[in-house]
Amino acid sequence: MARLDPKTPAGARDALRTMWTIRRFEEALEDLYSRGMLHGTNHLSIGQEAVAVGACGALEDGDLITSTHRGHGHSIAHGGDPMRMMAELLGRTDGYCRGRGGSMHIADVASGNLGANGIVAGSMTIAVGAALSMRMQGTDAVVVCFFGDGAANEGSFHEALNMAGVWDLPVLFLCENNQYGMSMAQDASTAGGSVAARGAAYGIEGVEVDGNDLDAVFTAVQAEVARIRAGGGPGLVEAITYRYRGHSKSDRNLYRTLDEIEEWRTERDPVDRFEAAAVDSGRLTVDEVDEVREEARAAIRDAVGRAVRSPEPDVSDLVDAAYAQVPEHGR
Amino acid sequence: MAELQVRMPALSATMEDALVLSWLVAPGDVVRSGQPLAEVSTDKVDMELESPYDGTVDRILVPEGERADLGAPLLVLTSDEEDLLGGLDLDGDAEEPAATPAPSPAAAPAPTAAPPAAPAAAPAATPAAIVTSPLVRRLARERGIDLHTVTGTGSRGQITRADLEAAAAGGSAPSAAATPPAAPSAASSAGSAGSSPGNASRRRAIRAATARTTVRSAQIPQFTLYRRIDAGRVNERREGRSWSTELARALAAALWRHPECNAVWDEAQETVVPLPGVRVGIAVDTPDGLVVVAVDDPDAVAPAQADAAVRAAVDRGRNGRIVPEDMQHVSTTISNLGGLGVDRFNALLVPPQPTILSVGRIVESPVVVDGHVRVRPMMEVGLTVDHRVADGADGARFLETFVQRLEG
Amino acid sequence: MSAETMSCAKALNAAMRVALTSDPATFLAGEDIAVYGGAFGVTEGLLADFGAERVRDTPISEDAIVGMAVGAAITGMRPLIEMQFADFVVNAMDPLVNQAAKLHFMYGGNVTVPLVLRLPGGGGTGAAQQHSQSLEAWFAHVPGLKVVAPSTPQDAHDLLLAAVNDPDPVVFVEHKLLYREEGPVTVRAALADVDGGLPGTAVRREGADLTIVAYSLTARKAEEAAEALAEDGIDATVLDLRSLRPLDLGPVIDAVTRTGRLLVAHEAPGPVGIGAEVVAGVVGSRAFDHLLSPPVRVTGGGTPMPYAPALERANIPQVEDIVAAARRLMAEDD
Repeated sequence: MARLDPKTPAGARDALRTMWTIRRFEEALEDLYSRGMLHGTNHLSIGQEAVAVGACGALEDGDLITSTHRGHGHSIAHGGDPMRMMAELLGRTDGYCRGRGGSMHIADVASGNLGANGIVAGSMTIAVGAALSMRMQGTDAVVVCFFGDGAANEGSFHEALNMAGVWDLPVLFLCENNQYGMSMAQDASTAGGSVAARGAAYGIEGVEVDGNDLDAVFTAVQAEVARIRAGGGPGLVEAITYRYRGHSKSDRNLYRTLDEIEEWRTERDPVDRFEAAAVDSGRLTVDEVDEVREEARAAIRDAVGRAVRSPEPDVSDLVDAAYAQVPEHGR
Repeated sequence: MAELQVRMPALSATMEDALVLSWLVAPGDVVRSGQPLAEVSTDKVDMELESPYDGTVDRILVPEGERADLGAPLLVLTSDEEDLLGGLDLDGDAEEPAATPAPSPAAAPAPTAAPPAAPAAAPAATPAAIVTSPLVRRLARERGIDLHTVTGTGSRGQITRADLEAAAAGGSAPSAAATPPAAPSAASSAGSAGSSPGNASRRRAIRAATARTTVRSAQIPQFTLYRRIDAGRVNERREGRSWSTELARALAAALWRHPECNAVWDEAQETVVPLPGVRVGIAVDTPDGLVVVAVDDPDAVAPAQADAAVRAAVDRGRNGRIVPEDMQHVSTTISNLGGLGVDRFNALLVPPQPTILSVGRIVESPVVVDGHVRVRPMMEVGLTVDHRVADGADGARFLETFVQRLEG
Repeated sequence: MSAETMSCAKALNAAMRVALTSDPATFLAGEDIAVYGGAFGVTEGLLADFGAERVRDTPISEDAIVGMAVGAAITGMRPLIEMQFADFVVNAMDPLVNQAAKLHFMYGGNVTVPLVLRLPGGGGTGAAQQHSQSLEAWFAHVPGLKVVAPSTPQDAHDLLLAAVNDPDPVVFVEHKLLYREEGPVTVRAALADVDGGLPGTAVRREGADLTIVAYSLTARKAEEAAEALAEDGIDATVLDLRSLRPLDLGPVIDAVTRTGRLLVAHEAPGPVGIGAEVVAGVVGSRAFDHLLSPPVRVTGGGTPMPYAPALERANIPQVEDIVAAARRLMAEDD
């Protein structure tokens, strides 16, 4: 059973709340950043929420994900606690990584989030290993590997798809094609144009989906995950989406027009579209939509309020911290 | 409708404030998030300030040509968007760090850092460069020989060990300015007593050395901190090793962690000089009096090896065969009167060592553990510290590391 | 169990057999390790006994091989990976340096990365520049990685088992010319027989006149050099580091404190190398006051490894180079 089926009223409500929670979480980051309270840069996924929520909603307990530098949405959609994520971004002890990792490295292995990764395509081969591990341990878990359109031009992408292909591993490679690898437009960087089409070279039938349509993402990923879980070998889904914010905090948007951003925001916003679809289809009422928004806002205010009170880590925390075990002679 | 403030964002990692060059919007303008509001100039670049929100410009707070600090409000929008964090107390009065006390910043982030190779005492300014090996320098220092008075016969004109031996045997006279080697406690007397036995004279020599040492110690401003320690864990795991070994290993670990407590006061330079490594002294009660022996960093070797070294050192002390290494660069000394029934006491520093640890007996005592009264083997220790070298809080942190190691 | 004589390759093979037998979480992966038995035959016979799932031939994809191992390690497995040649690890630097080394720390201590990466390296085989390197210093430079380099068959056996037991990523440096070197080996019955953690520096020979520090194949050369020096009446202590990170300097400092002279030898290039680290550690320790002469390094790697035998030989420290350097060191007046 998928954890969250947006086709049901309860599932639709959960999905919408999770999308709003992601968006509010990242808006809160912008606010805190503007106050000088965040130490490093961060990569926001505002506009891409439907991919994370639709894909993670289609998974079952025990399934794993690997994430990217733009991973706040994946973490929240996979069940991450916004307070612990916020504490991590603020560099506090209650953060998922005890303040060591920051925005790009949030992991919650206990709940199956094998971690965000600061290296483009860095988690793709890790996902292959996790999938092998799950199979060798006799589980039927599936690993969903989020990656961006930029990662499709790394060697790791090709090595990962090839290895997963020859070993028939239970891994779904999920491309969030948000049109740009930093400033490089996807059509200028990607020979052949399509990431999904590259699957064919590795015996994988790639699927392209509207990444701003939560129902469509859920349906596509649910079908692929079921096929993979049944032993059908790896999958590749390319979700077409868009990020509204710059690549990171230093971005001056020199590579695209405000009109382009405006068009995606007004015509194709994933949250607006899902609200409209859920109300039109009778899954949610307008009042329920308002309630859900307020729930997400309250959840983020609560998370921020608690996270800023989490203790700063002590430098003594670093002693021997690079290793799980330090031999006597190594001290 | 909410009033939302647009603040000066961090436009570069090093920026502290920025100049508002020009406003691109005016009150009454409707703006979309991402739309440029102003041109601002930081220490690095000129950039456009984008609106984080959709809304209508209500008022501008910082005029063109003025600077604004990072995070300062620049402009107010009225908006349908919510003020997400409005009214939250974000002043980040983070709670105090958890119970573990902070080690000194210098110690913590670099657990593998080797200690600086500073000599125990800063050498006086030398009129001419001396060419010789580190070994010869050390020997000369110990014997009070001024190397300026020794002629080098080595291939590069350097003073060889043989040159030094010749000088010591009657060649050049020791410099009057040279300081005698630090002779902690009775050790030097006990050492020399080995060659001319006779308990009475040995006893007298040790007494005299102890008298000199304690008088010098009494001139040092020192304080003592006490802690009660649950001795149960050590007893469980010490596998026949001596208590001295366990205490010495824990002390050594604490010394590495707290280099501020592993340094000596240099009176002439009025400065703290780090010790080159960790050596732990052990006060040994002999029929002839108190002697102190020392072992090399006992935490750097396997426990069994450390125990063998400690036992050998104690035997050395009992047999009056003190070696030079018992006196050099010793970091601290353990004085244990627990075996004689003493509950607690404060030991006097052994100059120039910056600390000394007194150890009382182990007593079965009621203590509260997790809300229940338990009978535990408790022991009290006292850490005496040279206040010129370190402060009370330094000593307390040092002691905490020591206690955690023993109880952990 | 009594010792039997076997080669380093066989001792490694036996260790892998022990690991595969005693822990179902272990598996082997690498290029040509299964059917072919490994480019140097180290994994010979294991496919037949443990099957293709646990003795796994991989595509020629070093990045994916090591990245896959990281993913498996953080989800409960203990992969034991062979790089066909140490040089090929350059294609896997991201998963090794940015992932394996970082994840335990980066994820707040919530994961461990118990993988072992075997790197057959070193020159002397006529394989020239791209198949002869000694890259260990790179990895010793990275917090989060452990680096070990055995020189005897018994150490090869025991260190590999200790590395498999270790919760951290271990780079296991093997010199190809050691594979056929034989020595007594007590084969362990189970992984648990080597649960003391990675061992530190071993004393191979004790002597009062100088201390020679080396590791891997060069440690064997140092022992030979010490025998030659003994004929001249020069009595050397020989230390085999075995672990390059963490570096166990205690025995080195002890030895130099006694002998007053230090010579460090390794095949890897000298600049910013393990020898530099050893010398700095000794000079910064209490042994400084016992030094009779400046410490000396004998290293290889002045150029990329040449092909022609005489050139290749000149680029690698030989026994006679160590002997000559030791004699020069002893000739310094003390």
